Amino acid sequence: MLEQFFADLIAPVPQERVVSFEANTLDMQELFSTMPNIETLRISNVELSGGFLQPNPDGPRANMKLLPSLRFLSIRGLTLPDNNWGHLTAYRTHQTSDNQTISLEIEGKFPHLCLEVAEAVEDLVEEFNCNPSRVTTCPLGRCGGRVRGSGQSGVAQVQGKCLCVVN
Amino acid sequence: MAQLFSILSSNPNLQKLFLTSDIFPNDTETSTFKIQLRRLKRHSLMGGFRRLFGLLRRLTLPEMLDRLYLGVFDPTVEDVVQTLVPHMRDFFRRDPGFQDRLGVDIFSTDSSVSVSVNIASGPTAMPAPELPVVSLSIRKKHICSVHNLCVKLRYTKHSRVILGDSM
Repeated sequence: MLEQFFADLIAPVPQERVVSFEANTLDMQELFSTMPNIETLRISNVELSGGFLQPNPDGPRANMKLLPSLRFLSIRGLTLPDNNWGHLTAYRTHQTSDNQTISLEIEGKFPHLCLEVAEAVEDLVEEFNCNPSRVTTCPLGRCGGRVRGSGQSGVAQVQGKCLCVVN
Repeated sequence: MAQLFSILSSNPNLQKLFLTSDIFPNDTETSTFKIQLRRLKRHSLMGGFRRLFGLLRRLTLPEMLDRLYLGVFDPTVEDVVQTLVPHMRDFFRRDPGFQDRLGVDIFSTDSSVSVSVNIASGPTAMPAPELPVVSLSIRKKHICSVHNLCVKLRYTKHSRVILGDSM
């Protein structure tokens, strides 16, 4: 009902004119289909799971981009229910399938990000900024221990980008 | 009521008008007499939904305002959908500023939700955050119970005002 209420409130806004969208919940993800010109999306408290920012596979826009004009995605606060960053790389692959460039920013609290995953994500985006707010530990032990956040030792600054690296 | 309408009618050059529910008339008259306030620049109304819109219907305002703030209490979902939304749609259509690039912010907490619309002037996608154009705030628990919504509409333009400032 809340989602419908948001839709009602936004209905009078000239939605084709909306180029920037910020929300602290993705409950209104369906609304994005009515705002195809969003270039900047800032979302908080994201639960990253399969189908993240992709159209309903059973819907009429199944083979289309949900946000075809998106150039910058900022995620603040992220959880991984199944500890799988593959949902993010799957989305990036989907979003950049037509060689459209996009920048990605992840900040706040989020699960451990192994260097290999960070590099895989970086390869798919024009610019990748990763700014963890706390030290995290690799749950799989692949990193051999802890990784550190921005501004601490053990952080690689590559062309102005911050990557989490193995300590 | 007659006294308020008399005051307003006697001041057609009024540029600022701030009214609260304490002096809102319970307009049960069937008069269609319109009060002309075509020089108004700043307009603030806060009160019960029916009384507020009863008063709004009696006012003829300029097509563009520098600021408009509506604090509406106790509307039903039907009031919002059938009255507030059409009012906003008309508002957006009249003002050419809304034909520019727009930014939409949606925030939800345990106790409230809010919707803001900003004009995103300039080459960047992000609108100037200090230029809120329209903001709606609703108490969530009332949405769930359908009745007794609290909706606030804030419109500011042409002057830099931080959202949340009193008029």
